[in-house]
Amino acid sequence: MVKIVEMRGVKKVYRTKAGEVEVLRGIDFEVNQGDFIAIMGPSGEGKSTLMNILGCLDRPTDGSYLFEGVDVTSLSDRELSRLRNRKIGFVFQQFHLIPWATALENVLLPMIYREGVRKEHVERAKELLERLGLGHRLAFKPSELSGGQQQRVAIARALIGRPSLLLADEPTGNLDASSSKEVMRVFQELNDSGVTIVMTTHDPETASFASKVKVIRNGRFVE
Amino acid sequence: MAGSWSRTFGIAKDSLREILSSKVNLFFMSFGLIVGICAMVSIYSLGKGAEITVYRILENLNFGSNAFLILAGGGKFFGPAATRMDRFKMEDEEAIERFDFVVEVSPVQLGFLSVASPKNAVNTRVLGVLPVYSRINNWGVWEGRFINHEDVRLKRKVCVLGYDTAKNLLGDDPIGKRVRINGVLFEVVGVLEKKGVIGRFHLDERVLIPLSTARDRIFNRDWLNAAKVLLKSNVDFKRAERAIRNLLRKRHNLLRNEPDDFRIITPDQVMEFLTKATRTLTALLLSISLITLVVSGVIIMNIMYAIVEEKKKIIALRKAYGATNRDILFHYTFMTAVVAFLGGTIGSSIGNAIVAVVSSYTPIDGYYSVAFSVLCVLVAVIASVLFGTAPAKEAAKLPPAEILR
Repeated sequence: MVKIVEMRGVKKVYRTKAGEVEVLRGIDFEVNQGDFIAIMGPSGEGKSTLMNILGCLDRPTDGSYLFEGVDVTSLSDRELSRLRNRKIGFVFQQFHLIPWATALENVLLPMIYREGVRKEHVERAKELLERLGLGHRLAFKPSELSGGQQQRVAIARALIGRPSLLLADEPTGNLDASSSKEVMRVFQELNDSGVTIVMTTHDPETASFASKVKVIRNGRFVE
Repeated sequence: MAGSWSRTFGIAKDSLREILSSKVNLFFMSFGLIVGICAMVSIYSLGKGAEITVYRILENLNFGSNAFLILAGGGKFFGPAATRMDRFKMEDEEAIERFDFVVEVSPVQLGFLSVASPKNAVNTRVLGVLPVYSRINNWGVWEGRFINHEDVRLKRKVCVLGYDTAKNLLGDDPIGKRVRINGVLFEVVGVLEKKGVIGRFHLDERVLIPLSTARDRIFNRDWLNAAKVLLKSNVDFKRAERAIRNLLRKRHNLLRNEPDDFRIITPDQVMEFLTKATRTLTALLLSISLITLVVSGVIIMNIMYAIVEEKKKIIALRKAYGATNRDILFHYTFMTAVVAFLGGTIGSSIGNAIVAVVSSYTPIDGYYSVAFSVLCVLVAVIASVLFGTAPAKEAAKLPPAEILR
């Protein structure tokens, strides 16, 4: 088993005017290649903070975090940007698509920051959109797509750079029941084809698509 | 700035798409620049054009680099005479003419007098001149003939009118008609070619009469108001000026520490005098345009802050997908530079178009300087980039984790 994520004793403390708030209180977490893990828990218990640290968008206050064996806590901002670009794909609850760009252009966004968009990237983006059932919507702007379709564009964007890890933060949070199922089936298919996924959700039905479920409460995983 | 050219190109394209997606922002960001640069280019070009027009007219009057004027009475350039004026005589003019570096001299008696026709009456400058006046000033007749040696010898009461004066007094067919100068009847024998206006000097409003007639029948004095001296083209201007000054001082018996009782006016001084007002006005208007540019910069800065605030999530998303702080800084700086370049180019094009229109409807020459237009666009880009740096830096510093939560 190839270990992608290895976290030991990860803590995150926010300093506010009212004092210190400890959001993560010592997280031990491992993600192996091919995993599909759902992190569940009520709002405000540290799910998003953990996802930000997993996605290298934030740094832990304490503890160690190895990504594919590399200690990410020692990386510079520039190195973290590079790691995010090459190794991690993000899917957000609110899709975060660029409104003036077409579906195809949205998918190609990560490639701009890699080496510039090349012909083979465009081909791959088209293939991904085709695979996700959006082959006929390449030139559509986000406003011309349904919620489910927008989330599928966001998934294609997350996959374009062939990341080691796909992070999905409440991916069905903004979708109706049928779109949610549609998106989850896509995740399941991706996982079946070898994509490693970590997803947060507070919906048990969404979590049921994952092969492992972890519950976070009060900044710690509950066994 | 960015890792490779294709990466930089990709970011630049993304930035361009972003600004083109909001036409309102684009309009407001570039509007101030368009106005500022348009004003700068048109003011500079028209100011410079006005100077060139003056220069062209002076040159047209043969007042180029090898001529100068001697005015009776000492004192400051173009001010009232500070000394007696009655010392500059015909004999002085003849003595100057004997210098081997002098081609010829055109003496003038001058006064502002009432000139009347049955139709109209004007107060205008009346000049007593010799036939050489026409040649030395490169000023021929448009109609009729110029004053000739016979007119001077016989003290004839004939006159040549300036183009506008002829129109004002006698309409379309002035030759052979009579005008009354200071109560004396004169026959109009010619009308001068049109020359135009320099500053507040209307060259086409004048009446020329033979110098002898002026001296004995109109002004009743023997001293001259001025003389124009034409030098040979290869002569050292300074040396010639010094020689004439010494000659006149000697002839007027001036003591060593006594000031000149005449003034030697060079073309440069005239040019300077005539364009000083234009230059001051141009400088003033240019500084106002510069203020416009600063205001535009502040507007750009504010709109950029608004854009950064509005696009926070997209900036955070770009960072999540691998954009570095530098990439974001470049993205927004490039955006400002593009807007400034567009605004500056449009502004300078409109400015040049205004110059073309103004110069086709007025006597002012159009002056088009590619270098100045390019400089204006460059100033616009630099100013805007400077003002846009703060919001771009703020965008670069946005923490993606907090925004994407």
